[in-house]
Amino acid sequence: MIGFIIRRVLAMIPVLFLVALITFFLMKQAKGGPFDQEKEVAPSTIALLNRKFGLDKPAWLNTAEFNNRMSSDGPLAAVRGLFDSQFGNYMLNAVQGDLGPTYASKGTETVQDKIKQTFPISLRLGLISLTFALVVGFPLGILGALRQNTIFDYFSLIISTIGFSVPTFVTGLVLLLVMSKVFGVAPIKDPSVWEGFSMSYFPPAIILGLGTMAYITRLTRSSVLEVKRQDYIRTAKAKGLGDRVVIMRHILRNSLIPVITILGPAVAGLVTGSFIIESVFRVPGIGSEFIGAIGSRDYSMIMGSTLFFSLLVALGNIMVDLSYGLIDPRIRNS
Amino acid sequence: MAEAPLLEVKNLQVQFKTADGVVNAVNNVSFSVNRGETLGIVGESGSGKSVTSLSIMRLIPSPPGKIAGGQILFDGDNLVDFSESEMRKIRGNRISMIFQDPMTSLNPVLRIGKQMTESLQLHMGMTAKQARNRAIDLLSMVGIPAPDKRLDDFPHQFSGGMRQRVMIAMGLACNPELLIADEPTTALDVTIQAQILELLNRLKNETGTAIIFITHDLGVVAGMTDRVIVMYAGRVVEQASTNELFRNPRMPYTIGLLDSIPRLDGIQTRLTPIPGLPPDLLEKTNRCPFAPRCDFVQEQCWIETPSLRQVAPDHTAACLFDIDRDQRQVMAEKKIAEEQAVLDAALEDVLAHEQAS
Repeated sequence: MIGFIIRRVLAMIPVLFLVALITFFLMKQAKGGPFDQEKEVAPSTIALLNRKFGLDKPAWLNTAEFNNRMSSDGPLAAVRGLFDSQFGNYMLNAVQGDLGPTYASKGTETVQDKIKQTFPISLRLGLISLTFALVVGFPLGILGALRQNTIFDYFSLIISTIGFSVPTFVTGLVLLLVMSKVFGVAPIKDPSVWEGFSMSYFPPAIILGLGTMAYITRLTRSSVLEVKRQDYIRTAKAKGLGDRVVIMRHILRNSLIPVITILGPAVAGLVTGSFIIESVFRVPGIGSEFIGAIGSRDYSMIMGSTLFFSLLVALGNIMVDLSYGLIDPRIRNS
Repeated sequence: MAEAPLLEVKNLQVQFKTADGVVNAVNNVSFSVNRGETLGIVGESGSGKSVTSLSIMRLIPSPPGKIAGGQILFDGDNLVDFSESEMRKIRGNRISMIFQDPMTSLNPVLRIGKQMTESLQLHMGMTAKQARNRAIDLLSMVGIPAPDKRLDDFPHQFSGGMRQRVMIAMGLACNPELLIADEPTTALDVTIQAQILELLNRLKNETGTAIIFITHDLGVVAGMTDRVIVMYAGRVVEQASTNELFRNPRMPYTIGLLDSIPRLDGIQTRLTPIPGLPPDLLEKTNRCPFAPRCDFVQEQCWIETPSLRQVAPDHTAACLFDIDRDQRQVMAEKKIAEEQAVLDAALEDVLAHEQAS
């Protein structure tokens, strides 16, 4: 078990490295830089800022420095010199837990500060929407399966089809419109409501969780239908057990297995989905911060939050793999 | 009859609604089981034997299945009229069932102990502790070593034979009056089969439970049962004591079945398979359902469905004619002779042709 966890954690290292590599490459393909303003800035100022943040160095490999040091300080220092590049320096710092300064703050704030500040908001949003997706999706799926081809089944089908097929920016805007026009609730301007739990989380969380809820509903339905046909359910009925016991004790736990499988990707979906929702509902979470960072070419913020998301997704998948064992004893022992 | 039978099935009719029409899976089936008796139900796949047994438990999936007519009298009560909650008091308690595939018949995520004790607590009102002790006794009764430890294991930690032992223990948990064993050895390999049959025989004698033993294996029937009914296309086509059936089969289908398995008693006969396929239960006909495959078929067979009639003391068969096994042998030999004659004629033809050219 512990060996399994260690192996999985070690496997995250190359994954994160690849993510960093690809993100950095894509980021460099985008035109413009972090210090571009609408009005002309003196080239000397930009040069100064670039030097301050090390953006004057080559992007990937610093061959000039390599040659330079090779002749003076020997091969070891030369290799360090080779990686005295934007990517090399970023990775060296990142490994030590320093994700660099955000360019938007002109270096007064670090990326890890920014994540610490905004991630709890996104985490709350994500947890509420995950809870919503599970609490609504699971029972709805079970109901659809147990009352197959009745009005309940069709109801669950309609709800999940809407949740699945209508994009969140549509449902989100519709909800905003209804809230402000029908109920007269003004859009939130005061950012302090996002500190700690508040009712304000529910509208964006529900919209965010809609797709996942729909997916869980359909998956649960098909899973329960599958389990219902199994021989051991017939055995349970042949023992004279009542419907409630058959469902609660014999059907539900077995139907959970495929649902657990999608929870890893679902958590990832809720994290990435929050990019749009946070913008629509003006939630000052890490998602809207990330979108903002792309617009302003805030390189270290883009790198930092991408790596952070990747870490979350990877950890989420490890948790899911571990939770299989709790549900299914066949996996626990092997 | 001295004592009323434990179970009496009268004119049972079970239908399944499908997209192609109504399938008459069980047609007018009647039989009875006495207390402590072992009845074998033999037939090929789709002959209605499993549907019959599930009907007794009232466990046919409905819809699409439904008991369309007839009575199932258990200890005098008609189970067809029972409500679902009345039926639950019977299931697993007075009638219990073990299924064909022990690999899939146990819930993979629950411990064996939990699965064994749930019916004990439900039907016998035992506490968790009492039920556990009873489960330990049951497991040792079916020959599972270290039963107190095995109770905490999951099904996947048992072999196929061991799982079937667990199923049998579960079936016998509440001392049922009737145990329905639906092909309990079909999914097991031969040595394990023998062990399980031996176990069932021993337990039958120890507990006095009546057993309905469903199988397609005549060899199993011979060693296990007191009486046998043979089913074909949803009907009972022959019914007799086991000895009588094996010695004097009267329905051509039974004769066909017996001639298609090798005998171990030294008499060497040619194995003859039954040609053709079982009929489509969708179509309604007036002919004998076995007619297209029967060696003895006559004109009358195509216009009249035979019903069970007495052919010997305590022996009924659904055939219009008095057929027995010797005739089959004669027929078979005649057939071989005819085939040989055709071959000989052809050979002679070829030879004559060669000589001429």
